[in-house]
Amino acid sequence: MLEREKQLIEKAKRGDGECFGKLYDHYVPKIYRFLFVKTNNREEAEDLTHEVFVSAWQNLGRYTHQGFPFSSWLYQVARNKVIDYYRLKKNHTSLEEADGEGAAFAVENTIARDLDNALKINKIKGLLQELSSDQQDVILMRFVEELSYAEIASVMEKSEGAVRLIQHRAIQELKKHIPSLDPDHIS
Amino acid sequence: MNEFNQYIESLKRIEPDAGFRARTRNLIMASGQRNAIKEFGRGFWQDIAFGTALVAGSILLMLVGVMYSYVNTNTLARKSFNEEDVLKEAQSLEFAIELGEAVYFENSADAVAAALEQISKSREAN
Repeated sequence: MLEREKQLIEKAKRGDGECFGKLYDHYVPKIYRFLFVKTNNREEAEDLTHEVFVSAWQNLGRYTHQGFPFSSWLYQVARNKVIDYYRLKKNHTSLEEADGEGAAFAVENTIARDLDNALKINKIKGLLQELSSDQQDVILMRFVEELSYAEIASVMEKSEGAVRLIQHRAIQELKKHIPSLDPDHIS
Repeated sequence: MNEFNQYIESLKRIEPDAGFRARTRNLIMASGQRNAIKEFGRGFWQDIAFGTALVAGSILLMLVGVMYSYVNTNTLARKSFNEEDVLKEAQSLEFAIELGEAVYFENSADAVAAALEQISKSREAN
């Protein structure tokens, strides 16, 4: 959680752009990462990230602090944007998708600068595609963004128990592809 | 570090392009924030405008209705006072009266003739 986050939010609510800018600087990599994995496309991830923060800035007045970091609310907005994105995309198959699986998992040089990292990102993105949307979200928020179960439950509007169950099923699914995966030794 | 953790670490290294970050930040700051009071005000005036338009529309419809019925009634009244129609009606009435007279005369002619003959016979006898 960002230092003095509550004060920044309160000032931003009163129209202080600089304060919102600080929130943006802190959270944009997390939201972008989440959207990049969800969409498999750098440009789409950038467009959606932009939409998430425009939406957050314009609707900040409706935000009420419920004990969770501001990121919980941002992830909620991002998840809704992803749902809308796939709803619209059903009728618009991109050339990238038509090119096949290899192209779909292409990773741009700007994101993965070394080959080893690019290969790992490709591999995990491919594995995440085997999971349901909820399972992907839990894995990303829990292990990549290190959110607590309570925060994830708040984002997904589910109980903590339901989130743990989704995570368990996701790990079982991933174990089929990564036999060495030990649930007790996930950092 | 196990294989899965390595994958997760690779995901953590994903960063948005610096140019994109700066561009989006500037665009958001330039877009301005939605002001709740202004939004309410705009909504209020929009509602007022809509209500006024609805009332004006209703009045217009009523006026059209009134004018239509006025024009319609007037046409009917004018039709009933049409000179040609009245003349035609009068002529047909006269014709009906004449026909009635002809029938009367035809029926009474024989009786009148017999009475006149009887009167002339009685004068001759005297």
